Amino acid sequence: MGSGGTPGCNKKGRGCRNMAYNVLVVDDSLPMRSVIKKTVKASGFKVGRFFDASNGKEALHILGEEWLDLVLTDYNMPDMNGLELLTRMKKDEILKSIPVVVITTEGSQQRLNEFLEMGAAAYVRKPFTPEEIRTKLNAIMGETEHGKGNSEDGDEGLDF
Amino acid sequence: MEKETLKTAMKDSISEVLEKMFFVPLNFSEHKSPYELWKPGKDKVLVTELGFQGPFSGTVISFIPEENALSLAADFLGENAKEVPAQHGREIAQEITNMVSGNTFRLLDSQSVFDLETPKMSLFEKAAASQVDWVKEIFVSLQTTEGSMAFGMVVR
Repeated sequence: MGSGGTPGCNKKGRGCRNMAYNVLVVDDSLPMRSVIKKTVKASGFKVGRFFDASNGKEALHILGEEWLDLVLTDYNMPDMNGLELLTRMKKDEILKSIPVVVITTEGSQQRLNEFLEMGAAAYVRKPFTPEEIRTKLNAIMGETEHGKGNSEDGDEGLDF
Repeated sequence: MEKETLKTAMKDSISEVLEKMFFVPLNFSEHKSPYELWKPGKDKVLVTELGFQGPFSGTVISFIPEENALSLAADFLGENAKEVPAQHGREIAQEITNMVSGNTFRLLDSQSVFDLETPKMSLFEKAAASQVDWVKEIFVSLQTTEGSMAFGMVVR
């Protein structure tokens, strides 16, 4: 695996409050990956570098090669969907600690809760604003950094 | 489910999707069918059909001129619209349809489960044909800075 991140920071970024995060965006549509990246960038969330994958298989390959701090994944994709990707990551000793956020058009609360039960750090419903995604991503990375639950949200979805 | 309730949810959904995700302001117009907006065979309109099943079932249909879809894709890709492959315009149209559909059902009833099929591109002539009597179905038309668009829902 590559060795990105800020020198002096451990893998979970403790003590590195101002680090920028390497983010993997997984979606089978190139324009939609651009929409997501542009919105995340516009939000002010500290992104070091974006990586792209068009399905779960590609995502796993990139995760094996690069240092990633966060995965934003679509749900419906050919050649391994978002849920399968999440399941595979949770079974891997190294990948399981990387937060996965499922970005979805799913409207049913029952289905959204299933994502969390499968181990997603959060879900984000499309459409979302830059402000909405920044709030949730900062909360997720804060949890990872400090090892504590967020007193406001916990492992909840982004639901607007 | 009342037709007006569905129409209101769809309009709210369209506003959210286009304004939040694509930064496209819009105004709703009062056209009653896609034929009032475009001419089959003359205007190149991307038609996307998305089937759904749930407490009620049917199809969501979107009408987005190809030029508008390519312009939206180009904005996000940072490219000239004339250089964007047609495939990217289709992907944007399908994704907009997917988002409008999912968001509509969430606004209607977030407790129920609606299964959405994969969006499929269709022919303008087929979707807007006499098979669909738009006067009886739900039809929403709108104007944006990119041009006109429309969305419909046929409930079985």
